[in-house]
Amino acid sequence: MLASLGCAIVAAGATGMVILHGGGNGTAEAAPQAAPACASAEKGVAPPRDVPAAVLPPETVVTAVRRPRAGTTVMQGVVASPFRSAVEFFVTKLPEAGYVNTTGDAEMDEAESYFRGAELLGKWKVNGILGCPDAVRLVIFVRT
Amino acid sequence: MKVFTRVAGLLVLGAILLVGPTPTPAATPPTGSIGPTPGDSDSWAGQQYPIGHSTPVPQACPPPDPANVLCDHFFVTVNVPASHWDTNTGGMDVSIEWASVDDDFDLYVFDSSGNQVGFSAAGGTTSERAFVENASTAGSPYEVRVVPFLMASAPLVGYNGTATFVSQAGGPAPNPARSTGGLAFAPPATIVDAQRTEGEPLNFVDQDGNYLDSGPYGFSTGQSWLHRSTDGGNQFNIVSFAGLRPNAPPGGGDTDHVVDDQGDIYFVDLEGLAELSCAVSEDDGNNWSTNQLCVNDTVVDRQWFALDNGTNAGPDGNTVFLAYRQTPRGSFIYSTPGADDPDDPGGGVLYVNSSADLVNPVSQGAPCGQMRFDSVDRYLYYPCIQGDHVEITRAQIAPGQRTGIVYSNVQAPPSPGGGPVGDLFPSVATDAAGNLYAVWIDETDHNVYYAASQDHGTTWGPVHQINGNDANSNEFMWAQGGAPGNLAVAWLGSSSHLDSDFMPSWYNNRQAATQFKWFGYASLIRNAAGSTPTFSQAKFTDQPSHYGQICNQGLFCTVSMGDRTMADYFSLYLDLDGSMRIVFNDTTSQHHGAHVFEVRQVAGPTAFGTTISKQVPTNPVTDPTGDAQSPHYAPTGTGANRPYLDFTKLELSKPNATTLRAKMTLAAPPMGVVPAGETSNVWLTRFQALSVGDEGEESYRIFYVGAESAGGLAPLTFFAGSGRSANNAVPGNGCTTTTAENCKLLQYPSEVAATGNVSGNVITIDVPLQGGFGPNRPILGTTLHNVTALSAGRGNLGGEIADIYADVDATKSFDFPLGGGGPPPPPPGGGCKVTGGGAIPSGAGEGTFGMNPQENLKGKIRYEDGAAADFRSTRLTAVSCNLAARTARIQGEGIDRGQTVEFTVQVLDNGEAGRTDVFEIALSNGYTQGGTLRRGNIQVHE
Repeated sequence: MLASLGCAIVAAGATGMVILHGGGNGTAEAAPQAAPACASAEKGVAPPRDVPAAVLPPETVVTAVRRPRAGTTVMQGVVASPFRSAVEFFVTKLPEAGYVNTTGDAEMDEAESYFRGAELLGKWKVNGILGCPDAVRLVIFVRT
Repeated sequence: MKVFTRVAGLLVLGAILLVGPTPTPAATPPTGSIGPTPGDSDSWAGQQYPIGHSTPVPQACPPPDPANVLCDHFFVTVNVPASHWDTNTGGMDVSIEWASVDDDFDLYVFDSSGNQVGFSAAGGTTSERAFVENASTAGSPYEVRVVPFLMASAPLVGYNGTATFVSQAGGPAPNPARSTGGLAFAPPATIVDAQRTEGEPLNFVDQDGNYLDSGPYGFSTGQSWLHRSTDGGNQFNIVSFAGLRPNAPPGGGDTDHVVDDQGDIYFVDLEGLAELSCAVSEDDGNNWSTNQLCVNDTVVDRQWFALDNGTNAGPDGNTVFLAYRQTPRGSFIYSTPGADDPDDPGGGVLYVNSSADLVNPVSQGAPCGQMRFDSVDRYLYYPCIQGDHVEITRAQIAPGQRTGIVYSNVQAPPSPGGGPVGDLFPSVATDAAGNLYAVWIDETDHNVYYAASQDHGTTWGPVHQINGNDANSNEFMWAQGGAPGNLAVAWLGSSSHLDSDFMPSWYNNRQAATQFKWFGYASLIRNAAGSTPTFSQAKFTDQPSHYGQICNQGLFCTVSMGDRTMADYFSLYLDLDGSMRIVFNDTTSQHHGAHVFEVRQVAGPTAFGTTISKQVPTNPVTDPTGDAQSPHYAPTGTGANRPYLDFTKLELSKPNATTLRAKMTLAAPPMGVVPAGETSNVWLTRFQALSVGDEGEESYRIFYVGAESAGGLAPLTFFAGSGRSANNAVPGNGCTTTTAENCKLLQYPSEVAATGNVSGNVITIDVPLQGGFGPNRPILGTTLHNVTALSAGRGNLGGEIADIYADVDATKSFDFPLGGGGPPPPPPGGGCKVTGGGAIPSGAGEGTFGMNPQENLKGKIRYEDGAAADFRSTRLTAVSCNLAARTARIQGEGIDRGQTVEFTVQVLDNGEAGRTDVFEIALSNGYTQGGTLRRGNIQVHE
């Protein structure tokens, strides 16, 4: 599914020094936002501290966090945003926050890209939800 | 080069997406020039127009149009001579973008002689895009005419535009002529799943002749699907209980599956973000052993299987190889014993690194195609893209060897087109003599190529072009080897020379997209490893399988509303007799979903060196009894057969010139217990036919008639329908979406009552051919394609938004020529036109409108009054004019404030002044308004 095309396009959108949004050590602290009922979002949980706030769309409800091995975090959530808007967030806001989207790809209801920033390697994946065009599922993986 | 061109063009497009209109008095600058460097672009800030402004058609504002009062005009010179296109391919890509969907600009491009050479005039969007192939100084300066169809969002509304020069080396050299050599494919094609859409379908034929298809349904659903046919590919059923995939969610990323010589089914899916989940079934799919983390690695992607059945007929020695790519390290190949291996109980679910080098990847190339195991010389091959050629990871495998394998990389020859070779996955194949073939599609010249090696990839023969005839621009290739020297290849091809990325996306402009038609092609190459190969080429689809863009632009496919409906490939497998079996996506329905079909070779030479001639199912078809279980696959075993859902025959007929009759014969009268979890039994006959989609575009619409039994009891109700597609954020009733317009789950709603009866075991339903499936869904073709009867249990009498039916039985499919009774009505011709724009009184305010409908049902209407109505038409269904009285009546469907409505607009043209013209609009939600124009003008004319 990851055809590795367009990665150069995304990477070209950001150059120079990598500066973390919010002073370089920002973490996700925003309160969970409401998600449409059709998104079936479980009760929100606190965002993980090792996922920078700058890589989370403001409408994100974090639904699960797990750490499969030391130094890695997988965060799942729901974003109350149409698919295209959610992807545009990652394409435009991550570079603004100093992250570089590297290898990425998109399908009709799925977009994903690796990203890197100061001492951080991550991957985001956005998926549409069946019968729920105003919300998407979000998975973010980070390795510090 | 192509990549540079794509990047440059898309960066510009991306910039447009991020920059809103800026206040300018007119196109600024008014002129520009692009070329000869690929990627050269010029941008301009467009004229601003006041709220309520409407110019309906470009003919209303040819230059001179002082101060761009009516339309905006940007003139661009393309700095290459016409001869440039003798050795290059491309042209000028023009796009405009504005801020609000409430406004509507249309885009037209004219050459210096005034000929219209491109246009894009959608509604309900914030962008338009047109491509002028072979633009040059000879046609320069080109006029980009931006028509403000109706401004509604702000006091002043502007736009931004960009023209980009697109050029790729390699001219449109004529393809070699290819004869069919007798090679022929059915129609009809079998629909693998009548509900679910599925990009990237993969097929496999096991040694018992069972057909298996799998594909990802997307992480959005946590599902991927495995379908299985035990009757030669006539009926596929979901291999899982409760409609779920073999193992529990989350999954839905990428799939692959194989069946070994013990009949064990191996399945792998990409989980969530980063892991591979494996499953194996030893009882034909009823029960599965699963491992949610079957390789000890994370952040993995695009896995592939290859199967070594060992050197004897027993279970020992069987090995399943599993390749995947880990970012950023590279690709790895793992292995597991066969599930029936007496010495290893973890077979099929526990995989270990097969390489002697446990640290480093076997390849850094990407993306990588499906692995192949050559059972003759016992070599494993894994193809990956490396710039302008295919890199192949290879290793010779000792019998029973699963670990400690020493892999090395060999390089196939550079692509004659210059590469990269990424349209899209590369392929390898081996024949019965151990010859190795590398197959790819060049991104620069879009040709399909192959090269052969007789020494396992160490040295290679010459590169040969495969595609011939009218297959000019090509995508998605798959290959299989057969008898010594025989290579079978299938791909998608278009007669256009244009890069698929530069074709209009259906999601941006349905009508423009349908100007670019894709068909399925297949080639059987004999003496493929020799110096003089022969090519037999045939289309495997008799109708287009896709319209418009196939987007390869990565993330920009999303932000540009590009078309990735089919994902990255389809696949080809060889049947037990060597004939080709192909699973592919047909996206030409009104929903543009990735509907999965299977088509078979029915005549001509096979990859095994034989010649076949098979019967094609024709009306009527019979169907065996005893194949209507529910469920078909379950941990407790296959359910009982349900004779009342068990088809024995399907027959279509035309009792008179205007009526279609579907007669579905069952093994028992149609009453009985409903499948578990459902509320009714349903019997459907569905087909596709050339028609129009829901924005007036060409479409092979899905039509159906049906009977339904609530609770499994009498009486049955009879219905027909077609289903309406989603339109932007407005959902339709025919397919549940995940994102706007992305069809995932077909529904068959009861839209129109039909005439039907039950006599014994026979359900008979009559429906008018024209109008019987809902108004203004004409059947324009002479053939009903892929007619199939389906039985199922469904919930809530078909009223659920996302109802997954319990699949029970399906008949063979057949094509039905309408014949007799005269041809269907032709597409509407030219006729009168209505053009106009202006304002009418509406309460304390006014309603503004723009319109350009034509009697041939082209054109659109936009109307809004700032409060109670915000309407745009999506489809015109009737336009009638009285030229003597200068009146017109337009009817159709549209969207008002996010809801689907029907509409009627009536106008009176009282002369050029316009002030006495009359505009009236009535919507099915009760809104009506009308009156004499306060300003503007309406013309009713030839």
